[in-house]
Formats: sequence, structure tokens, C-alpha cells
Amino acid sequence: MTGNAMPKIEVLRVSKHFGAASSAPVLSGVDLACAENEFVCLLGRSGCGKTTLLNIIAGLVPPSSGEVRVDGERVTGPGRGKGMVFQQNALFPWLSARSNVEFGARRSGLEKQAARRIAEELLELVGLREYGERYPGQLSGGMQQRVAIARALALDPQILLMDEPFGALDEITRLDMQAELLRVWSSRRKTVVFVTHSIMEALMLGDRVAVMGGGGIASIHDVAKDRPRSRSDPAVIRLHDEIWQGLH
Amino acid sequence: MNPRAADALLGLGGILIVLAGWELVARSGVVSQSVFPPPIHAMVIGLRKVPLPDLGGHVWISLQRIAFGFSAGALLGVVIAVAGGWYRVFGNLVRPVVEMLRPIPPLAWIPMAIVWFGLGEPSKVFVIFLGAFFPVLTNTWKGMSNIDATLLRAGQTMGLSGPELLIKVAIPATLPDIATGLRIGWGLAFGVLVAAELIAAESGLGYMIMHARQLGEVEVIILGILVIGAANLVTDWLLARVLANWLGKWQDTTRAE
Repeated sequence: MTGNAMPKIEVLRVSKHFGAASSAPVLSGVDLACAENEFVCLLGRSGCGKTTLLNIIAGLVPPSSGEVRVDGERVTGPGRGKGMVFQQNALFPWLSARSNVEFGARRSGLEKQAARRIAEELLELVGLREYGERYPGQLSGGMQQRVAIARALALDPQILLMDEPFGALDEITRLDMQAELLRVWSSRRKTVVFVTHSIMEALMLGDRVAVMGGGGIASIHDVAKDRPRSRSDPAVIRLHDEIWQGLH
Repeated sequence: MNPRAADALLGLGGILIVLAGWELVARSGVVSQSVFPPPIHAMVIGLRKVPLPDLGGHVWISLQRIAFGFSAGALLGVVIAVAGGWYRVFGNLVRPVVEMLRPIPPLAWIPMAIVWFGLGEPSKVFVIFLGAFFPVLTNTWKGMSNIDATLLRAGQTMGLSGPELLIKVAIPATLPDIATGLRIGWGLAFGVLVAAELIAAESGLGYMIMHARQLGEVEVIILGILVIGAANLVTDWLLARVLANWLGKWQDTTRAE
């Protein structure tokens, strides 16, 4: 490590268009840098390209031009250095919750014994110690997402990418999960890129909120507030208004 | 009593009611008993003409043919469908061939089977093989093409690719469809059994039935039909149990919310 200034994730002039090269690009010339252990939220309407950008960072989708670097290394494909949590149904339904997490741990190169221990620890961390034997189909949506977070952490990734992980949950569970994620994140610091279409969710979670629109990042907002934050905090409300107005 | 035992008892009751109805109609004299004998009578006479050890021998040889034909058909069906569903070039190459051959009833292959394999065991096993092969193949293929893309992406973000992604994610994700294919294939293998054993066989339930027809032994025909039905029922139940075990709790994916 050369030290201080190198960003953990660099998105450099990334463009993406699907289909014909002449079609309107989903992303055009996007630049973004995330510092080590920073929590960055990508916020925007459906179809603004935020999930595409996340998939490009993950290496699941190649950019049409430009590049992404993690720790200065160009991303050429998906891999276990970049853990990902999807919106839903990404757990392997043929494995128990514990085996799902263990699967992630095994992928990070651990032996069976060690992987099992890590899986137990992570299930405990996400509050599901008692549910290790359950299969995904026997867990509620919120529990499934906890397991998915534990599985991504089991890879011990350099960065954690989250694609609307609470988007399919009911409002109440969603608020619980936000608090839960912050608790987990505070004990396992990672650089997180979190995609959401909820302004309040972005403001509760992110160090910075990158608002996307028009094929790029329209504005970036620092949320200089200690967590846990209050929804009724004047600074939060002010930022909410600012972002809301910026979207129109 | 647990609900499953109750269901099984009801099923048994249904079978007994049909047998009792048959017995009554046959005894009432509406139709001649030599054409439509009552079932208990038929079984008693049938067993006198084909004693239990002989009957057991027919059942055993038939089950062996089914086991061979089904295993070969299921194995090849799964292998081709998995490869075809995963490797695009191979899939596009094989798909039209499969679509062309699939609608041909297995029985239509009997003359060809005789030309290729003669009158021995392989020709019968081949026809049963065809019965099992296509349902297993089409169900597995369907499963392979319907894998949730998120599962594959999740696998990729955990560093899996190529054959490893196939073995650790794609195939397990397809298991329920493979299981469905196996059950349908098993049923069809039974279905074509009698026809397969029409090919100059000297043993097996199909032979027993056809031979009885030549001798005019209606009772033996009825006995044979009942035994085929019972054997299918029992083995299908066993197969369902094995598959359910194999798929574990995965199948109750129906909401815990």
C-alpha cells in the first residue's frame, strides 16, 4: 500500500449501452471513487442505470468503455474479492442457511472445519444462530437477506456490493434491516456500494449519496452525521429535500 | 393418525371399492363370467394356472428390463440435457434432432429395434430406454433453461465459473426438474413394458398376458394387468420417496412468511 490517497474503488469514464452502439447509453462517462471502508449509496429512479453500474463494478457486466479498478487493479470479471448481495432469491435453495454461508466461506479458501466455524460466527452476527438448519424456503424474506449478507461476508471480500438488498421487503422489516446492516457493518468494516431507490434509506446508511440520472452521477451528497441517524434530524430532512428537488 | 397415513388409507379404500364394484357387477350375471370374471375368482384361477413362483419370475424379469432401460435412458437423458442446456453450440446442434425424434412413440421403434438388436433382451430394453429417455431429457432441459439468473450471478460473484459453476450451481438448481422427469420417465417405462415384451419374449408380464390371450385364459390376463398396476404403484411410490429424500427440505420452498 502506498498509503493514504488511493481510493478502494475507482470508476473511470465508464459508459454502457446495451444492444446497438447507436442506442442511447445507460451510462455515459461515469466517474466515481470510493475510499477504503466508505459506505456509498447509489440512488436513483428505476432504469437510471444504478444496478448496471453496480454490475459493472462487480465485473458481472463489462463496460462498453472505461474501466473500474479495485485497489488499483482493473476489474475483468466477477470474483470473490467483490461480495454481492442481490435483491432476492439469490440463496441456494438446496442448501441450508448454514451451508449457504459455509459455501461462501469455502470459496474464500477455508478448510471445512474453519468454514463451518466462520459460518456459525456470521449466522450469530446476523442474529440467525438458531436458524442454521432451515432452508431458504423456510425463512422469511428478511431472514433470507440476513443469510445473504452473511454469505457475502463469508467470502471475506475487499468490497461489498448491495443491489437493493431490502427492496423486496415490507417497510417495517426494511427499517429493521437497515439498523441490522449498520450494526453488522460496524463490526466488519468494508467498502460498501449500496444501490437503492429510497432517499431516506440512502440517508440513513451512506457516508455519501451519489444521485444518478441522465446516464451519470448527477450529484453527490455528504451525509456528515454519526450513525445511527434519526429520520427527523434537521440535517437529514434538509438533505432529503435537497436530493428530492434535484431529482425534478 | 397422521394425515399421510390417512391419505394412504383412503387411497387403499378407493382401490377396494373399485374391486368390490367389479366383483358385484361380474357376479350379477349381466355379462358372461368367461369374458368378465370377478376379480377374486380371476386371481385365484389365474394363480392356479400361473403359480406364484412363476408369476414372481415374470415380475422379476420385467422389473429387470425396466431397471436397465430406465437407468440407461435416465442417465443419457440427464447428460445430454445438461450438456445441451449449458453449452450453447451443443444445445443448438442437438435440439432439432431431439424435437424430431421425441414425438415418435417408443412402440413405433419396435420393428427397428428387432432389426438392430434381434429378438433378444437388448431390443426390449431399448424400447423401454426410449420410454424413459425423452421425458427425462425434456424435463431436465427445461430445468436447465429456467435456472434463475440470480443464482448463476451469485455463483459468479463467489468466484465460480465454467464447469465448476455448472456442477455447483446449475445442476443442483435443476434437480427438481430432473426429479419430475425421472418420475414421468419411470411411468412411461412401465407403460411400454407390455409392448416391449410383445417382441417374441418368453418371459415377463407382457409375455404372460399375450400368451394367456392365445390360450383364452382371461383370468391370467386379469391377473397380469392387476400385477402390472400394483407393481407400478408400489415402485412409483418408492421412487417418489427416494426423490423426496434426495431433494430434502428444498421442496417446501412455499413461503414461510
